[in-house]
Amino acid sequence: MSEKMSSSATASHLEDIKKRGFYLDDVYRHVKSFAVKDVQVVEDGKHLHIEWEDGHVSRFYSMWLRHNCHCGVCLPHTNYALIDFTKLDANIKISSAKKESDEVIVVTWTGENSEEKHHEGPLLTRFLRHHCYSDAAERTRSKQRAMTFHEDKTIPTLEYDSVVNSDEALYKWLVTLSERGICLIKNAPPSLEDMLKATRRIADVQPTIYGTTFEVESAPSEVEASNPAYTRIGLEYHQDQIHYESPPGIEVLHCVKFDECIKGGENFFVDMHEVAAKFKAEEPEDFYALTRIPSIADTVNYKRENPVHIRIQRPLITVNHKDEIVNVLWRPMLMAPLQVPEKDVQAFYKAYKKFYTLVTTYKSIYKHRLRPGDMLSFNNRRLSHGRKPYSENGHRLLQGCYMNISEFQSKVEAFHNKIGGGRFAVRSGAIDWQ
Amino acid sequence: MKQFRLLRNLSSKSSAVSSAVSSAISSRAVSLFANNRTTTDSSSSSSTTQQLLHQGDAVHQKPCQLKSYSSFSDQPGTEKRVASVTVDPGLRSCHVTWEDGFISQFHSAWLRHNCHSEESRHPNGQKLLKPSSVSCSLVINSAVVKDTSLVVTWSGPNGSHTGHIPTDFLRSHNYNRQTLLDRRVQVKPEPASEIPKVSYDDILNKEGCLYRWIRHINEEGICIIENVPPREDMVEKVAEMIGPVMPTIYGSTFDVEKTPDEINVAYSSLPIGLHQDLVYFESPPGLQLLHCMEFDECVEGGHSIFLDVFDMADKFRVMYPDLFQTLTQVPATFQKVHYDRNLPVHLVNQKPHIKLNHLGEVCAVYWAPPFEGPLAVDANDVEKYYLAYETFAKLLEKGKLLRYHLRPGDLVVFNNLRMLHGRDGFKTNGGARRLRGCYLNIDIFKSQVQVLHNLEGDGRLAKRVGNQCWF
Repeated sequence: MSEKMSSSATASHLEDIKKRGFYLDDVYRHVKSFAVKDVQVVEDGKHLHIEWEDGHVSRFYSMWLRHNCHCGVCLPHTNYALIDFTKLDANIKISSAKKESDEVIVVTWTGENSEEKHHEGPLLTRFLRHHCYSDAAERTRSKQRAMTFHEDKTIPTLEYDSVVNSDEALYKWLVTLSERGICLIKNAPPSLEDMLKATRRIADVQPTIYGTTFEVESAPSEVEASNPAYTRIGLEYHQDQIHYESPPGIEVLHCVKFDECIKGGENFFVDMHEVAAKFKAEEPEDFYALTRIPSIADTVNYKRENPVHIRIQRPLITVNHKDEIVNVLWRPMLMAPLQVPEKDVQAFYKAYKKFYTLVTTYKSIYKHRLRPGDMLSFNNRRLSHGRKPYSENGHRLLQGCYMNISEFQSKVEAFHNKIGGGRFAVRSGAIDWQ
Repeated sequence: MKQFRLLRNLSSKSSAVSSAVSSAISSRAVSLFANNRTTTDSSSSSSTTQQLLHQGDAVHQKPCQLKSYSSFSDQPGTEKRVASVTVDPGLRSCHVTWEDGFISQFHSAWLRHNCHSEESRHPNGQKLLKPSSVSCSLVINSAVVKDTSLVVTWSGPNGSHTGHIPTDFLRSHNYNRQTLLDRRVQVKPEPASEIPKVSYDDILNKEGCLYRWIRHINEEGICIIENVPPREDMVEKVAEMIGPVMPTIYGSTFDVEKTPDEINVAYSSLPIGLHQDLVYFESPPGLQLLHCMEFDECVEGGHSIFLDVFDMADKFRVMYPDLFQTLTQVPATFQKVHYDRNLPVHLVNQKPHIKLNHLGEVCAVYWAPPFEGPLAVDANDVEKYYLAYETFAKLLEKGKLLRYHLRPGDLVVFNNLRMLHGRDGFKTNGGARRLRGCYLNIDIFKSQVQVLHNLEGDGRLAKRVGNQCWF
């Protein structure tokens, strides 16, 4: 009787997990090799060895498995795990592991020195394979997430109508932004609403201290301009609004007017991650100085109707636990006085000067003169942008908006799984150690 | 864009400062500068950190005239008069002695980068100087005070340049060790022993009270407003006194109440453990506002709980230096992967639970067990991580909670990046419990605090808010 009950209970593990919303079809359908050849508890219950049909071997630590238990007590609600670590034994052991079906392994754990003495729960084989942390699996993930840089700096283009009307074209837009960091959308109608119709396909607008959307048009006089962008002067390479913890992600510049008679005003872009990678290879000591010594980005303006006083101190370059570059911030114009211990002052300036020179003299860059109807989208976290000065005749008017980088990356991941082949998205330049 | 009400409510003459808050600048100097070492080198051991902390306790803050070092330069009590300037042998730096006896050193490159000459700096404050043109071998040929500026002549491989820097700018941005030390004390948040309260009427009508409310949020990390009218739109109205509401994947505002289908634990009557919201964003929501709309007398339990996680991280460091180090190095995975909703989301952010600045001080902490994805780190780090994780979880359970029973009309505002929040389970007994909430961006909040300190207060620095700022 008891045997029968337990078998009927286990037979429903998969269905039960699906019912609670933890079977992520869209993600797991891309996990092709999930057939388990052999499961073994090793090292007195400390690790679980799984040999897969395709020959790959995974090794999971007892607590890692316990942390990811898929039973109804640990994962009662969609996306909400309830595992109380204060009741677990640090030396929790796997007492048994059994393949229930191609899709489910049932594990039992014991812990002698804590409140929870015994626990049993299912884990999905596709989940385990997807999240395997072996060196080989990690290499594959790292490779997919790494940015690649192309010698060819032609800006990829798409048509406005297609990105607005087709999911395939939208996916192409997302992938281009994700892999190249820049994409030109051609033939966009001139209204603000038309611009937003396209950008909302990716994410809602990210509001900033300059409003939800903005216009770039020169102010009547240079001194009146709250920001040099609103003048006709040239702008050196910069990323926008790096004074925020999460600076704007995707930036869109939509050209409404740009009279033919105007001389200058071209935009140019350099891939900061490409330059930083080169800097790391050529000048490691200076590179690490910029990962270690923080500088301050600030916007302090008490003359506005709503005064702002934003300051954030952090390094210009961030590397993750695997020494990969994840974040580069660049805006020489917004740099406040350096405030670090004296011993770091000279080291910072030595490195900063070298990196600055490398950035501003970098040869392989994107260039474009906007034409009315162009909607230029680029990743503000990956590319620095600049502008040539332009002449005083004629009218140049751009409108633009930003999208949050975490929301953009979410959209890319979701589309890779929904429409694409289920790969991991390329790093976005956000402070994310993946 | 909506206009913030903040500054329109302020009277420029207001100077009422609650004594409770003004005493918040502690005289205890916990400094990591104590022996001038940092812990950012991977080689430095955690015991060094502990030593630094203990040594720091013994460092006494010397009396210092300075009240502010922010970039807002017009500060009361700030000495702007220079007694003497000496260019150091080697010509790579100079020492400025101020009328009040304070001495600060400035290096040639630092001075050149902050030169206020017309070609170096736009009138709006943005820098025009080309950094590649500033050589590290720049020497100072002369440095003299003229009127209210230090006039400096530099020379280097690219020729020479003469420019000036206002003395008040120099004083407020000086990086003398004592100044840096003093700043560390100013920006370090101290845990609150109880939740401060203000009344909604006072915020609207009493001079200085709006400022007091915002200071409490920054200094204690939390504040309750009493007697907020029970209207659906009030939570947004209150938020907009500080800045625009931050929309998230849950919309601009949200309701926390027991619903029949309970798709999220927040919408059940179960207890909710301590956590932060939306940590899977690069910049999670800063302030969270929860307006109690309904909380019937018959409902049993359901107290709100809060814990200052910065304080707990400091305690963790002292008790378990090695485990602390692990949580700063091995990244956790925070995620919200949910395809079965109108707008599918796949938000993942990998980062360590605790982030340190270049001085080894805690500048961000993340704790959200319900939203942790599978750990994805090197196999060698897995066991180490779980030991540290479990120990920190146990320590949090022993933390001294701020517990509060919200009443209809109460509106609690707390810093989501500093205060963990949760609630006790409850029994409805046929009654209702409903909170209405929204979020505010952390950088905008910190900006408003700093603006108010400068316009209304004594120009002090805003406390650290957990936005990964290393200052």
